[in-house]
Amino acid sequence: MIERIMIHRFRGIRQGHIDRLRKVNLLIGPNNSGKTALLELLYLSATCGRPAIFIRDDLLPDETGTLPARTALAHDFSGHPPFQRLRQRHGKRGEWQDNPATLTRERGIAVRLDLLKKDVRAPDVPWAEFRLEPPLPEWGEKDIYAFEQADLAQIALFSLPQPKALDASMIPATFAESGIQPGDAHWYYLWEPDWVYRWKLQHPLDRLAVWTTHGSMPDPARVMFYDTVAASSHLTTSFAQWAYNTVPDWHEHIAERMAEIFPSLKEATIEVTDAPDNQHGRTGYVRFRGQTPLGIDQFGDGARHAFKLIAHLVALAATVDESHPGMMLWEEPEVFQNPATLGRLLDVVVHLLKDKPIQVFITTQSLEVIAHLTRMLQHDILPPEQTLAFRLNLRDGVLRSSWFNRENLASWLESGLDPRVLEDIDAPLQFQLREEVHEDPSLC
Amino acid sequence: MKILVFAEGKTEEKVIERLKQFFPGFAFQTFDCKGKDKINSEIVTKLGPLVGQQPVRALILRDKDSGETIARIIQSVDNGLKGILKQRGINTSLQFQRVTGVWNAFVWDAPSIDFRLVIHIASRRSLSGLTKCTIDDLVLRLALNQNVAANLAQRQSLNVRGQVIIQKVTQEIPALLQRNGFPPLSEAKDYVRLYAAVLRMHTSPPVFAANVLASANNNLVQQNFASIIAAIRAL
Repeated sequence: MIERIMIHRFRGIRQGHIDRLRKVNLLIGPNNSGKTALLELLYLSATCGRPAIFIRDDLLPDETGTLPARTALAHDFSGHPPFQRLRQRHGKRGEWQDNPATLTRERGIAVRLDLLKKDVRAPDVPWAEFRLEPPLPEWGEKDIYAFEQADLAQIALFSLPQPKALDASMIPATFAESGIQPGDAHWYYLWEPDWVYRWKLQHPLDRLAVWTTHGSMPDPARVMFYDTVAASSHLTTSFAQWAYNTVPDWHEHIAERMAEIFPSLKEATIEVTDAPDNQHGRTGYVRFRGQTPLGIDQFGDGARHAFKLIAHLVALAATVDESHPGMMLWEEPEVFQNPATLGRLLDVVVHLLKDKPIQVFITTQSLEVIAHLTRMLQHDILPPEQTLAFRLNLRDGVLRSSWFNRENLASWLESGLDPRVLEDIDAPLQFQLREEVHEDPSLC
Repeated sequence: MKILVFAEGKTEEKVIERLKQFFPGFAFQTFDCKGKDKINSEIVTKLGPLVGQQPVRALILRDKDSGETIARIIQSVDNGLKGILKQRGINTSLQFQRVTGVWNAFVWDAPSIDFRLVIHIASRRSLSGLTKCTIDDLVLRLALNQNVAANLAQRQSLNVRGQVIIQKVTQEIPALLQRNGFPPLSEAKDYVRLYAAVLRMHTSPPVFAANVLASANNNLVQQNFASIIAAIRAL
């Protein structure tokens, strides 16, 4: 389980850290406070599972010149290439053309940092070039780790899992000041400039986003990122086939959970088959006895959203174990949901996650989500010792966080305080309206 | 700037509501902790997430029960404060200091995390023989002013002089009760209820407090609540 993250120049975060991460983490805070950036950072970190060997020729023969590394998996749990998926979230539909990388003779990737976009005000890159070479296959095995041309548009980062040593040029000053040792953490280096904090470039390493995760990582193939993009897309064929073949009674489990969320679906069965109109991917069909099946995308957004979430989560929950722990990243559960449906959806999700080795990160802007989870904490449905809410705050690029445990949340909500708004702790709107009504003498 | 007020009950909320007009530009939010025993847990749960994240200004309004000492009350709040700081990983050895010119208010100031907390301890009895010093004593002291009593009577459409009301509440009725074998009244709240009954206010001590505060002019209020006003100024 990831317990701590230190960040140097990732997206809008110039520097910062977040500690005390738990099994269930609720991320709250204003817009542009780093919630989504943190989800994306976690996603990139957790899907960094493809073995490689990091080589910096300029450091050889020092031991820091060659280190065991990882880079992005070709596909995440849902069947999407991780980096491309994130690019799409930010409106970059095409492939990444400007990666300063080429294939090596050994079918590795050589990355020329010195070819990154030049900016006269920016310092030089921290080092000119490095390689990610594939590990040698076992005798008689296919060379499964060799890189291909298509990978050049997909690979923008590598990780060094608990390296024995690191050259000083690879350690941001703030990390060094904090006393972190290389072997304490997994280290990540990302060179796509649009994902690197772009202002106040002072040091060569400022041209890269660098971060560390502390604690154990999930199985990279069991990392589920659920956002509105996922809600409005079909399931990938690879995921749907895998889930159907791997998860016993996958369709039946989805139907059961959907009926808990939408009682009107109680008598319905669910099948996942080809998307209509020759579209790529698979989608769900709801069938009532004696009636023509209805595509899930014919339903309202709330049902579509819930269906796709549940289809993924049922499969994730069924395939994790202590040796293969998972991670669920869920962006704004409240989107499209009526409060009553939202409550049932949260109940079902928490039920599916119960006792499963899945670390969960949820971002929300919704007081209803916070209140519902607080109630679950108060009733020990969510274990209080495994759950924290973090209120994020990003000022001048510095990420800060404040945590709320069960007692904090309950106390704040009972008093009409809003944990989303620390700066001006006025009562939430509904309480303010109530007070105004009560204070209006004409209504007394 | 917002000042968070932690109080033992609802009467304090009414007092703060009246005093806030002397602090334009400040916002107040009062939390009824439902008794002194819950003040520490309330400051831990309410202030914990704020500490180190933004400026925090907090005022604790405490009564002094019989047998309690100022030192013990401060020690108790200090324990709560240390609980917050420990939980949030903040080390400090700062101590409470007496607010300049006020003997019953104490300030704890940590500029490095922009956190200031003041305790005000009610320390004046409104009538002799009472066992506690409470916020109700301060309200009752104001209500025992002849002009305030007259205003209260007028609000209740009673044609009676303030001095008469005060005489009934503080002397005649308690003496009658005692003559009939009832134990003496021991808390300001007893007198407050008696006062409200005499004026047929049909109300609770907090609402009585609001009425009393509304019946007193600014000078009287400032004089009567001078120590609380000084405590707020120390924030």
